[in-house]
This record gives sequence, C-alpha cells and structure tokens, in this order.
Amino acid sequence: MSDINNSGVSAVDKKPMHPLTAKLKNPNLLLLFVGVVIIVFISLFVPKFMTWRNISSVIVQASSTGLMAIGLTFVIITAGIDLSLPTVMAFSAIIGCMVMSKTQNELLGVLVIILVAMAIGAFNGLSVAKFKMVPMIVTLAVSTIASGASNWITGAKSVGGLPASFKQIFAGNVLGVPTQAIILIVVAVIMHLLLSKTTFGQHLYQTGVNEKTARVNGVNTDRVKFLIYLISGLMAGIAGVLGSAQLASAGPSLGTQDQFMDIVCATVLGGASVMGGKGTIVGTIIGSIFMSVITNVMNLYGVEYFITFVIKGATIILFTYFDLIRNKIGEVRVR
Amino acid sequence: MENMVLKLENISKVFPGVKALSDVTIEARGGEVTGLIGVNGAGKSTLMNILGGVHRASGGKIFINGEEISIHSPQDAENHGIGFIHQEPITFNFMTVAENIFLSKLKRGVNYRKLNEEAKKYLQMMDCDIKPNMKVGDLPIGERQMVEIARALSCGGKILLFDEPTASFTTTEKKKLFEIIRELKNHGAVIFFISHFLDEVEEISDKTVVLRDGRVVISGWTKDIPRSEILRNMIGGEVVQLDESAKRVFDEVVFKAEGITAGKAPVDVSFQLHKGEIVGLWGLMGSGRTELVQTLYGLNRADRGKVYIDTGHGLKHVSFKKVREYCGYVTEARHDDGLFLPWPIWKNITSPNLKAYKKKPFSFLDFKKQKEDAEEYVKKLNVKTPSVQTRIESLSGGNQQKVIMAKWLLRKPHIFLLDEPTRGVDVGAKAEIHKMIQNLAREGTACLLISSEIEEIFALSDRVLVLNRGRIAAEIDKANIDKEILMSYCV
Amino acid sequence: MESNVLKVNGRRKIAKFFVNYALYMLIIALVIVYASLTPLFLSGQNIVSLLTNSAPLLVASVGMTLILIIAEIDLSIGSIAGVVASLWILMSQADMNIVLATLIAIMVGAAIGAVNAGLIVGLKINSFLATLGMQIFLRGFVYIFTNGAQILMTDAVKQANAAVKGVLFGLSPLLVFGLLIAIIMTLVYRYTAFGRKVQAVGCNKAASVKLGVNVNMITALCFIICGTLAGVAGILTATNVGMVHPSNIGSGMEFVAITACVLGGTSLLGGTGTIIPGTLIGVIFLNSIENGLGLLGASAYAYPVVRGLVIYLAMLTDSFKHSMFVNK
Repeated sequence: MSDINNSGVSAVDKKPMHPLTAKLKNPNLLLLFVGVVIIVFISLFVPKFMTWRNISSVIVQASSTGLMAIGLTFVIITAGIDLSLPTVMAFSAIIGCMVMSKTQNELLGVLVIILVAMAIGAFNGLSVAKFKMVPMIVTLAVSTIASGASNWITGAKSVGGLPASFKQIFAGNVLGVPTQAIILIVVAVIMHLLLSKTTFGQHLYQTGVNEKTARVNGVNTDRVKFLIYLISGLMAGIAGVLGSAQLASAGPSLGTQDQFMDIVCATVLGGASVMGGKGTIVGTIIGSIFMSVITNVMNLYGVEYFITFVIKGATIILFTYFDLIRNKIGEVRVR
Repeated sequence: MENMVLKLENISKVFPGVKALSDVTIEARGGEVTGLIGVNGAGKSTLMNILGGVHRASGGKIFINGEEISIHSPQDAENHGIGFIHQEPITFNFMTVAENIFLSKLKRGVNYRKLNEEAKKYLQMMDCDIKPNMKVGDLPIGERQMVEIARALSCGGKILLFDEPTASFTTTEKKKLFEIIRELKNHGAVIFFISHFLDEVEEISDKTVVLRDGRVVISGWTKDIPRSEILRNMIGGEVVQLDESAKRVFDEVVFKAEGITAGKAPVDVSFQLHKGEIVGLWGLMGSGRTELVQTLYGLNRADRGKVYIDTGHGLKHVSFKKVREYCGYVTEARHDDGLFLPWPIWKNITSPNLKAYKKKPFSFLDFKKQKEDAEEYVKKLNVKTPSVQTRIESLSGGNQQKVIMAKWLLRKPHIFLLDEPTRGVDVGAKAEIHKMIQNLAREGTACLLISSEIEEIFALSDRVLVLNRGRIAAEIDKANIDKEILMSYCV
Repeated sequence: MESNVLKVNGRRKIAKFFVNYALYMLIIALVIVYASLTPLFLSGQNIVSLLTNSAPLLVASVGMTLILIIAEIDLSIGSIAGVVASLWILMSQADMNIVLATLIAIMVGAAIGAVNAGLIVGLKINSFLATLGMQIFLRGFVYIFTNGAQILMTDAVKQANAAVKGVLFGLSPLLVFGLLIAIIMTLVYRYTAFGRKVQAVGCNKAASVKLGVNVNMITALCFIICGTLAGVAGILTATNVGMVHPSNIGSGMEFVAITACVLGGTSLLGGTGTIIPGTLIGVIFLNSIENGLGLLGASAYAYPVVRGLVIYLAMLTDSFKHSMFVNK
C-alpha cells in the first residue's frame, strides 16, 4: 500500500504526528479501517454474511465491477471518463460468445472478446488523444452504439450454446477459491504494479496532474491518453469473459449503462479524483468490494432492491464530503 | 478646486506566520502619481490589496479627505471610488467590452443600447476607439487593460491603483498607457503606480515610495531621489556583483537552428550556439521569443526549419520531437507548465528523468534513489526546505525555480533553454540562479537565455540575439551591448 | 513562389469555412438525406410531432445549458425528472386537483435542485460527485414511489391536457410550454443582470468574486432552476407517454442533455453557450435522427446505433474546428 502518490508533507508541518494518526491520513487505509469496522458490525447482525460461500459471492460480484473500475481508474487519472465500459463488455462478450458457440472453441472465443473490447478501447483512445474529442461525449456515443448493436445483433436475447468447459474454466473454483477472484487479484496486482512502479504509471500521473508540465518533461501525453483507453477496453474485455462465463451466455443485459454508476462509485470511493491526478488500484479494489458488500448485505437482509440505490447514493455523497473535510483538516495554509 | 487627499496611516497586515506590512504611512493627493517600488515580497501587492478591499488591514487607518473610511470588500473599495487595474487584466473574455465594464453595476434588466453608449463615454475618455460590443477575448492585451481602466473609471475612479501594468506591453502600448495616466492625472485622480521597472517609475511618477520587508524605507519626490539610493533601499544591502569575466572564445557549435518558421512567430530564424556559451535572446513581449523556444523544443508545430545538435559525433539533424532528449527547458510560467504543484520536491526533481531510475528485473522505478538524488541536488542548489518530501507548492518562488533548475541539471543536458528563469524570484535566489547558469556555461553547456530584464541580459550573455516580430533583427557581441542599440532594434 | 503561397492560403480559407460550419452542414446533410428518402420528413405534421416530442428534452437541456455555462455539471436531472413525474401521477391518482398537483410537483423539483445547491455550494462537494450521488439516491425513490412498476396517467390528466390544448388553439401544451420556457430562459440569460452574471461566473469565477458578484447565490440559483426544469421535463414526459416506468423515466437524460448542449455550441469548460439557437438546434438535431429513422420504418434496434454514429460525427467535425484554429 504505497503512499508514493499521496502528496507530501506541508512545509509548515513541523510536529511529528502520532503514527496512528499519520496512517489514518492515508485514504486507502482509512477506507479499509472503516470497511473492517462495518464488516464486523454486519457479521454481528447478519449471520449469513460471514460464510465462505457468501464472501466468495461478494468477491465474484465485485470482480466484474472491479475489473472495469480498474480500467476507469487509469482513465480518470487524466480527468477523462469512459462511459462505454459496461456496454462494451456486453458487446464484446456477445461477439465472442457467438464465435464460441459456432466453433465450440472457448480459447478462440475468449480471444475474440478481448480483441473486440480492445479495438473499441483503441477507437475511444484515438478519438480522445488524436482527434481531441471530449471523452464524455465520445464514450457516450460509443456506449450508445455498442448497446444498440448488442440488441440488434441478438434481437435482445442471450447468446447461448457455449462449450461447458468455458464456464468450468472461468467461473469455477481452484482449491475452493473462485476463479474469478483469482483472476481479479492477478489482474489487480499487475495493474497496480504498472500504475505505481513503472515509468508509464508516473507519466500517467504527470499527465493527470499537469498536462503541460508533463509535455515539457518529454512525456508523450497523446500516447498516454491513447493507451489508457486501450487498457480500459482490455479490462472491459476481461470482465466480459468472466461475466459471460458466469452465466454461460452473453446478452445485452450483461452490461447496461446503469452499471456505470457502480463503476464510478467504486473508483471514487477508492480515492480517485474526478478532476484527475489521483487514483490507485488498491483503492479502487477496496471501493469495488465496498460496493459489492452493500449490495450483498442488502440482499441478505432482505431489503428491497431499490433501497440499495438510496444507500449507494448516500454513501457517495457522504464519503466525498468526509474526504473533503479530512483534506481541509490536514492543511495549513502558508501566506 | 480642492484636490482629493488619500492618507494611509500606520497600516499593518499580519498573515498567519508572516507580518506583511508594518506601520506604512503614505499620503497621496489628487493629480499626483505615486510610484510604489519594492522587490517581490516587499508588501506592494498586499498594500494595494488592502486598498482594493481584498484584504483587511490588521491595524492602522485610511482617510479620504480627512474622513476615516473602512474598506471591507472589493465592493466597499469601489464605493469609495477605488479602482484596481491588474497586471493581467481581469476580464470576461467571452463577454463584450460594455458588459465587462459595467458587470458589477447591472441590476435587473440590461438595455444594450444604453450600455454601449455609456461604455463609449468612458472609452473616449482614454481616446480609445474600441467598439463596446466586441468580445474582450478578441482584443490584444493592451486594449483589454483599457477595458479594465474604463471599468475603474465607471466606478467613479478617483483613486486608481496600477499593479505592474506594463509587464506584457509593447512600447507603443506603454506610451499609450502613460498618456492615459497623465490624462487621468489632469482630471484630479489619485494614482498609484506599482512597477519594478525603475525607469518607468522615474518617467511617470511624481512621488516615489520604496517598500522593503513591509515597511516604507524611503519616500519623497521622484526627482529628488537618485536611482542608486532607490536600489540601495530596495535591497537593503550590497548589490550582488556579478562575475565580469573576460571575453571567452567559443568555437564548437553544439546547436544549430536553420530557417525555423511557425506561423507569425518565429519567422525564418537561424542561429548557432557554441559549447559553453550563453546567448541572450532579447525582445519585447510579443516578439516571439517564447514561441521560438517552444518551436525548437517541439511543443509548437513548425512550418519549416531544421535543428542540428552535436551529441559527440558532430552536428546531426534532430527532429523537433527529439530535441527534448538533448535539451533542458526552463519554461516562462512555472505555475503553468513547470511544476507538479501538489507533488513533493523529489517527485518534481526526478520527473523528466525517470528512465534513469529503472531497476531490474521489470524496469520498476527506484523511488529510494530518486529521493537520494533529490536530496543531493537540494543541498547543491541550496533549496530552502525542511525535506524533499515537502510539497512544492509551499515553497517560495525562488526555491521553486531552483527545483526546476535541478530537474534539468539531473539530466546533464548539453543545451539549456531558459525562458525568464528569474521571474518572480527574490533577489537572493536570483543571484544564485545567475551563478548556476554561469557555472553551467563554464562546464560546457550551451545556454539560450530569454529575459525581459536588461540587466540580466547584460550580466550573463556572451552574445545577444534580438528578436523583433518573429525575426532576428540583430546579433550583438558582448563587447558591443548597449542598451540603446538593443531598444532600437525592437521598435 | 507567390502563386504557391496564394494557393495554400486559398485552400486554407476553404478548409476553414468548411470546418467552421461543418456542424450546420452536417445538420443540413441529415435533413437532405432524410427528406429525399421520405417526403414525410419535412411535412408539417412531422415537424410539429418532432417539436412536441422534443419538448421534454428541450426543457431539461435548457437547465443543463445554464449549469454548463457556469462550468458545473448536473448528473441528477434524470432522476429528478423521475421523482417529480412519479409524484405528480401519484397525486393525480389520489384525486388531487391537477393544477395543485402540478405546482407541488414543480416545487419538489426546485427543492431537489436546492438540495443539490446545498451540497455543491454549501458543503463544497464537487458537482460531478454530488449530482452523481443524488442521481443514484433519487433513483431509489423513484422505485419506491412507483412500487417498482409502471404507473399510468389518470383520466383527469388526459382531460386537463385536452383542455389546455383547446386554449392553445389545438397546439400541444408540450410544444408551447417547451418553446416558451426556452424563449424565456434565453431572454433571462441575455437580458437580465442575473443572466449576465451567470456568464461572468462561468468565464472567470475569480474575477466575478472580485467584482462583487455573489457567486454562491448565482451557482445555487442555477442548480435550483435546473432542478425545477428537470421536474417540468419529467411531467412533460409523463404526459407525452402516458405513464411512468421507474427504470426508464429520465434514464440517461442527463447525458443526452449534455450532448444536446454541446452540439449546440455550449462548452463543457463554461463561459459560453446559447439556449436559442444553440441548445434548441442541438435538441432538435438529436431527436430528428430518430424521427427520420422512424419514418423510414427502420428497425427499432437501429436507432441507438445511428444516433451514436451521428453524435460521434458531429463531435468529430467540431473537434476539427477547434484544432484548425490552434495553428494561427
């Protein structure tokens, strides 16, 4: 949990802080701390929560959102946005599954899913980086096209007839741990290392904090901006693989525009800033799990589906507000 | 007719941790221009901000015509007839001239015909023929400032504060501004003129006040105070003598620019830089100096032209995009594109040079080494900071600029492009940066130095290129540099 | 040499012209394509129908235009429309006087706008996140109010609708109110001190503060107006469609509104934008894409695909316009 990308100490801060308080300043740790407290609470009141089966269900639920949130994290660091994530996930899964059901070759199908998603990601990246279009509108347009195309191709039905091995491999268990969770963790680790320890990651943060300065430093900001949408597409593709494996089918309902809200919430709860410059993979994963826990607990508790909306919405607002306050407390202005 | 009298009595201002003004007493009359001089941080802006209602004085009183007044907000200032004209004209660029002038006066409905007529009145006061329904964003900077002046006048402008107004002006625009100021003087206005261009203050002001460390150190009639005394009081110590070394011989060309053209500026610029040479690039605002450097560095698209760089095997053609691999570039506006403000010092210092910190096996970055290198350079360049973890935004201008120098020094470039490297930097840091540049040159780096301060160009350059309207108008050797010659090539 | 320079300049001028008006040319191209494929497109009946169906989006986009001009964003308008619409129908189902119900519903919209204002201006929460949170939060309430299923317009509403229509010489109230709101807001924006200050805040917030503009008040009012208009849009939609379904009332409306504004020339960075003609054209353009498709009998599945493509093309040409001007 590196704090490399958290800002340093203010010049006026001379008093050494109590180590616990210092740790609490790290937003990820704070969220984790709050999360652990909440989980302890929940397990007291909702006995069904703490079962292995349920926890794995939570993580599996989080994997789809989590993967796309990882993709969004890269994009959001440049103050960009990718509204097309869920619909591209569905579209690429549909295409891939159609191939898979025709050829009964699950490897080929997976490859197609990933390539289609990345191609769309590349298209987004090109539009934003090369043609300098506004990310919100571009990805919205692409999202509309993708979801429309999904419905058109399938006639609003799901594509089935997939080889059984597909579900077994990608939605099965390895030594009792769900494959999805493993894939999510592996991808998260790789992406975390990419973001926090490579020059690409630093170039990305530079582009996000001050694009002009980054360019003066020699960063090819256009290339950075292209690549992040490519990565985002890749994540959507992987999510598509996992999602369609889970259901052993792919249809337009696999990824709808309203899932985007969950993805953004996960990313923001993880500490990413909509204005760019901040965001970590670890935080995003924690955020995704948080969102998944909320949905899960609501289910277990037997709460009506729509109350989840109310809770999620309130969480976002409250979290943002507390984050704001926390930053204000930690600041001492000199001048 | 009695002229207005503005009196500031024992004004003091305290900010957390810093006493910006102590015991400032100034008296100014209508029909007089009072020049306010001081280095960065001396308190000039704070004083003006108090008059303008942006800050509230911690102590002291303000009197207009013997009556005490209180200024708690910009609105208050306006009500007392105080108009603030800023260095960067504060305008709403998508709105019209008339809207810009009267924005704070608008109530309920807007009658454009009346608005435009009223606007014309104030513009004519300054002999200005801008159309009131033009969008301010389409006007050149000199005219945008006139809009600001018109706004001040429309608020009853009896007291006008000009804050470094000529920083971005051409000579013609400056002349125009001075004419306007004289005109306003004749109308009986009280005028404050802040500038660090001493000859401007000498030209336009009747009285001069010098501030240092928040106090008035000398004040009186401009004609009675010799310049040396002003300088001495500004700095409060010995003026740092720069190293006047004998003329050196430069024979190895390390950088050659040929026919560089990009739109209106630069136009067909060709020149050479030699190893160890400092070449000054002089010209007024708008002559295209920054555009030239940006084009050379690949940030501005060139229409034509080639760059050749010697990296050890003779001069070779280098594409504009690759130029940055061999050059360091200290930009003009560090807050814009020189710093990552919320980041700690060490991240800023190592930001252009991440390639050097790749560690096996996966090319992960070595953060520890980055911090070590940062500490080394912070010490070397005498950057005043408690630690390399300090956020760079809390550093003073001079220290920030030193960090930017460190940023490039780490890469040990052959060629250094410097655009106004001591802008907004206090006198001490300025001298240190000058020494840095000279040391670099002595070690063999070729430097291209843009500066608007003629003293700086004099002190550092071995050779001066004069730019006018995007073209090189003259090339002058160190021995022949003379201020008159330089100015004559600009007009 | 001279003639070469002239040739280059000439070519540049033509390119500049094309690109400046590219958006308009795209619109004209669309009109020509549709009109040639079916004469019905330009028929009076179709145009009236197009304008009528555009009314809800128009009203919502008018509010959004103000928000974009002050360089903020409001992602909650879809859910506000949903809440107001469902409450409105519920009130009329409870036999409340239609006029009263409408007034109360509109005030609910204003109240929610005020809550947004409180979060953004009062608590200083970033507008993207605050309104995102509200969007999700309120969507839950839409489900709660409608009990998870669609609710139908009452006869009382249908009668009121017909009555108003009669007063308006047979014109649909949607059409009239939609245009009226657009016209009124345009006048407010251009000719009142409030409207001018809105633009000033969007142009240069710091300068506005210095000039004594109450930025907080202006921002708050914009969010309240936007919320109110979003509510009105909800009511108009409900009247038009005859019912409210919790999952799709207002769903995605905020993004469509933003697109319409941007197409009409409003910048996401704030400070510039027009309601009439800009947003009006943007809205009509967006809706005419699907209107034409409908007349051509295209498969319903084709709608979003064509819409997305056209939006993309429009934004592409707009991008070229800006990048052309960067190079002197």
